[in-house]
Amino acid sequence: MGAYKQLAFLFDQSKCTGCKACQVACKDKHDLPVGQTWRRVPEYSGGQWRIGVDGAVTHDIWTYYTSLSCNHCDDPICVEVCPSTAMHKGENGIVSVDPALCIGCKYCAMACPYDAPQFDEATRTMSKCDFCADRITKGKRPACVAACPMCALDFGEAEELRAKYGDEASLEPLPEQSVTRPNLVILPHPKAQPSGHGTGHLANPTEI
Amino acid sequence: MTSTSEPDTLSLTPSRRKFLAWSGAIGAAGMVGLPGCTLQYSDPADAPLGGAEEGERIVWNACLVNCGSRCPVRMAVRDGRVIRIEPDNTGDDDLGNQQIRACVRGRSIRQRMYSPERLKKPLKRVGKRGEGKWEEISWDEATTIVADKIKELISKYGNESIYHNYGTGVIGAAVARSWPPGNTAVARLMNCVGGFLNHYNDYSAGNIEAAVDFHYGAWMGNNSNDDTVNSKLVVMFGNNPHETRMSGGGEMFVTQKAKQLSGHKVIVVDPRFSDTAMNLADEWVAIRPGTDLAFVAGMAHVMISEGLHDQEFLDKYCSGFDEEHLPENAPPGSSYRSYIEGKGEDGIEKTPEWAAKITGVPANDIRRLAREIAMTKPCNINQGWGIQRHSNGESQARAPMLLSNLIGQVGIPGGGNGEREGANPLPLVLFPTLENPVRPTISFYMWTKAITDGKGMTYRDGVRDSLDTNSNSNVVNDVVLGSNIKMIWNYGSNALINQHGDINHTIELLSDESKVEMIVVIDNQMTVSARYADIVLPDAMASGETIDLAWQSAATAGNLGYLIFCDKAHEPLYDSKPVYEMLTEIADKLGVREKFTEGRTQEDWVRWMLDETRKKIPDLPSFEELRAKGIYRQNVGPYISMAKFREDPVANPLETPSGKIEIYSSNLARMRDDWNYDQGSQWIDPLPVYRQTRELPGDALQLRYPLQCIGHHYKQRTHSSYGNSPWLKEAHPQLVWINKIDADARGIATNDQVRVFNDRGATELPAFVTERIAPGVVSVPQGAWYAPSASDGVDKGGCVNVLTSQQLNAYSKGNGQHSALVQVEKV
Amino acid sequence: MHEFYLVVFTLTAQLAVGAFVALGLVQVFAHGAAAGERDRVNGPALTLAGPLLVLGLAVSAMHLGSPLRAANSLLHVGTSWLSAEIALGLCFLVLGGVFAVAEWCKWGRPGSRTALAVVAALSGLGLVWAMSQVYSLRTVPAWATPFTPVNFFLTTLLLGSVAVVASLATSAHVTPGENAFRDRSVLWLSLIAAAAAVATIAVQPAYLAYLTDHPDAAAQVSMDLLTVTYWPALVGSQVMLGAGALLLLFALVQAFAARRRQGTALTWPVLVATGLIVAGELVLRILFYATMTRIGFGGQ
Repeated sequence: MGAYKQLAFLFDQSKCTGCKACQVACKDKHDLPVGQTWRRVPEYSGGQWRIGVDGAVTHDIWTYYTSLSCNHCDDPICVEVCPSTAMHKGENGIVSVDPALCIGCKYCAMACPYDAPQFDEATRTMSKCDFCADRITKGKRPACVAACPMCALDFGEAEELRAKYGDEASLEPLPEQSVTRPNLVILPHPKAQPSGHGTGHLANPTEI
Repeated sequence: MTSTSEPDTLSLTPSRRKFLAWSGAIGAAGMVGLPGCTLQYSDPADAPLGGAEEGERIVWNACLVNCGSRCPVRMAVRDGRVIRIEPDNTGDDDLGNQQIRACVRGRSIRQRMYSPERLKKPLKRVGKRGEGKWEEISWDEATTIVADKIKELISKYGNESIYHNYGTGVIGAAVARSWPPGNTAVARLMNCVGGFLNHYNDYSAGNIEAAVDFHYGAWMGNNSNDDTVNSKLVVMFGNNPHETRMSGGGEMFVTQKAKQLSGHKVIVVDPRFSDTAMNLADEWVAIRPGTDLAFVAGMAHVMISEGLHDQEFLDKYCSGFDEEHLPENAPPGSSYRSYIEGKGEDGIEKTPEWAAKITGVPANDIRRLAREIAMTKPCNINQGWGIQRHSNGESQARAPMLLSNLIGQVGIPGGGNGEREGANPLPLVLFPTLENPVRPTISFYMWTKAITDGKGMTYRDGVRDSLDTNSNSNVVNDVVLGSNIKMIWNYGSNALINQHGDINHTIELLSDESKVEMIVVIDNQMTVSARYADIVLPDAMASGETIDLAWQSAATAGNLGYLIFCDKAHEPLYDSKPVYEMLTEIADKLGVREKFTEGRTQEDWVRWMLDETRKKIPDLPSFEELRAKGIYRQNVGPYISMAKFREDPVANPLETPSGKIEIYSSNLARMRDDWNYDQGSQWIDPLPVYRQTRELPGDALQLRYPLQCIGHHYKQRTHSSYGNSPWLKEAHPQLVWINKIDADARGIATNDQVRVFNDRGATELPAFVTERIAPGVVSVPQGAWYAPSASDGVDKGGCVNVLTSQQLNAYSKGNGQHSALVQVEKV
Repeated sequence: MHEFYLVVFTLTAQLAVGAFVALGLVQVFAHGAAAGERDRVNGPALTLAGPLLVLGLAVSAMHLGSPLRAANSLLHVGTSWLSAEIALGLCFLVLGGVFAVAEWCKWGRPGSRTALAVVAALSGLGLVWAMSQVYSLRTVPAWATPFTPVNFFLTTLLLGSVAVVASLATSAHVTPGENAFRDRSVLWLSLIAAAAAVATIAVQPAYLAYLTDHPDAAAQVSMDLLTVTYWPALVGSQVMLGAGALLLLFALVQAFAARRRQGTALTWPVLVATGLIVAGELVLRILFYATMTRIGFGGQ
């Protein structure tokens, strides 16, 4: 039994500049190659330009970033669909892959709406954010949390975080949180739009 | 209680802060959210040398690139190799004690240390410059060749023929620092044998550095960013700390924290909707690059006609605002007020409509912003380096300064003087580099011209006196450059090729080996510039392979100053040597070993520096203590620029001829008629007036090359450092930013390969079609590594400097690298 | 097309189940058929179905990152539809294989063999159902709909019947001779195949309407992919299926007009029709994967 009932990430979207220090810190800690990225930072942008008669321009441009790894969901669709039970929810509520069982069928990647599971070419199995379980057991923070230069990432007991900061995770470009019940609490950017009601677009789809 | 009310600033009580944290969940505009690192600043089990897993040890070190910040990177070492980076784990989220977490670039530092492009052995060029054909030679042979050439050139042409190029590839360390050029180990070496040709100012800020001397007398710096907790309004011109100064301890943190604490309003003026704008700005003014001075003039018109300007301040502290306060020899009609009201030389009234046509900012917005800026006080007007890096950059740099003068906000808490943020320095004693007796010094951007036409250049061409390089002291001088450049030291520098304008021209110039006879490159990666060397000396990585000190002092961390111990993770890789060691060998061959080393090793020098600094900072720890602790921090307090001048301008005059702020600079008036510059398309104006110089909106060249091309400073790299890190290229791919309107007109979609070109050259890279850049403007992020393809010679690396100009600006003799007109086509 | 392995696997597996079931249906009409006649129907069909299924399973194993651990995929049968699919697939393979051998070697009583066939057929149909549920992910609006099992079963019926028809027509060409049972089988199965092809076409507009009315933006993206980006493929698949159905009917008419005429006149239209139908199904199945869009990022 771990120190936490259910771990959750806390993300302050109003501070994120999309720098991806979190992404690279994760890759550095886990020695991930290019093409295997456990933490990603989608950018969601919108707004329009209007050019006036004298050539002067007006606009209502907006954009914001969301740092995202795996949300260790309460209703993890990846665990449900995995044919070999390799994907499982374990200690501290962390969802992780048992590489000894995994057959690399990629069904979890097909199902996950957050693109969390990634195929590992070297081991030929799936891999994903494991909440830096090895650091958690030693009382250390996940690499991404420790890295963020804006202190936009934090983590803790899901219940406590929700009590303090609310329960918002249904913000574009993420899906509605009722689908898999992610353990992610977001403090919204002033321009954040609710899932499914967005007027913008994903600006960097090839980086997710 | 609404969340837009003004909380106490620095005296925020804990319960007040907690409230702000919770009200963040309800989401007021921009200022709320996580109050920094609440839950944990550091891991419970993580003492400074902790964080190590079994079988590992952690050493402190620093990332040493020119990002304007300076971050500790703690290195986890196992089996003699760095296997992981851990960030700073000291400090908290208080301004002045912030945790200095490394940015995305520093986190990938292992990919620089262990890059396949690490230079391994000394190399001698065979074949042509740039061909990339090398012979591996011994250190003995390499140092002999260099020493012999130095001796030969000194005897034939004098020390002035040997030039120290600009390079900031390793900056912020004490011994192994490649900048400023007068403070490097190379400088010390050359000063042992009679000196060298130095340069003044830099690629970052060469235009404002020249201009501010005339406006304020000398470099002042602005109020430090932590002081903006006292501001009600902050206006940022071409300033983008959230992408350029991304250290968790640097301006990205400080500006964000200051806004959070104070709730002040932020207006960002920038051609791009930068990450600073998206994170901080309550309003983004999308402006055509290079036209900020017209924008300010339009606002000045509103302020003057509505009586919103601070007449009292202008009368007491400034010279040249109106006819009543002109210097003696200034003709009537030459005041700024006359310029604005159309009573000056050009007879044009600088109305908001006039400004809107030039800048693209709607006239009504100009009116509204003018009123807001004039009436919201205290107001900090500041700038980054973007607006001054244009062909009219000297005057552009004065735009925010002038604006801060008009509203009288200079020298007070919460105000500002229009420069870039400053800070209080730590009184550090660093590596001494002896005296350089060579008198002439040229601007950082002049070296290509000084290769062909250096001999005989005078002050009119931009030659300054190295004894006093202030612009005012070099309006006239008696210094003459005695030689063309025959040898270039290129230490930690990619400015030989990659970072200098008009790459194709430089390559052609350097291909003539009779002009520059020797190019020595000291670096740790095979950079683009290294490819054009004659001798390559492989440097050890100052981050991780030597003992040194890194520091943050005087700007870019708000009110925090600090010193980092750079420890050794392992020995220098391959056959690389620390720069101090390799130069000692050259000194030996030159017969000045003892003079160069004073009998000290690099570590000895570090101990010496700490001892000397401890005389000024008594609580500085010992060498061993600092090694164990990793970092020494000090809250240096807020810096209020020009406070003494504001207090009493008579007792504390500025170093201008009048002692006051010179809106009309009498020195510039003198230079206008005397100096050498391109009088058809360049101007030297005593007032900060808008001029349509080379490749600005309205240029006839736009018929062929309609788009303005800037090169914004990008999260993937620090200039060109880290440009070969695979993780960073994956995280932030090199793309040309183009507005959707311009892209649609050309049938371009995101990730389409496009060609960006003008008469100077062409580059091909994928496009990023976005709303986040003004229509009519594209940006090729600067610093990408120039990579001409073998098949057609066209750059495929996306290097903006194939498109930029080498033209020297009128009196700064500096760079207008953001002034470039291009066309974009789908490939 | 990185999902090509799955395209091949789902089509071959559904074809194999369909062929087996089609043969079973045909047995229902087999009263009074001579044993020899029956063998000459079952033989070719089973020879086709069995190896195809094995091939399909092998291809799907190539899709795996770690195929040597494939047996682990049976560990989650109660919860994961993929686990159930593989279990049922193996069931079908084993039971169907045993049945084929039993038929060939005449093991046991006909009644028992029939019972075995029924169980095998049911597991095959279960396999198709499980496959449809594998794709009915709540995060993929384009797939999480009754249209998925409808289309999978239509494929089963269509490809199964037309494969049996093709193998029978080929065997008739190779070993001509009177076989009323074979003729009747060809007749009925061709009609069934043609009907299934027409049904597949008829279902498309309803599916597009479902996508259009779906509240999630991801459904709209799938819709745009189908009707804007890939419309030539969509239209092409419908044309191929329709042409295949018509050609089958034409072949039937030909056969009846010529009364008992055997041989090449019947063979080539049947084979061409089969080719068209298989191609149409292939394109449709590729579109199935190509227009897959997940909620969240996919909906942008």
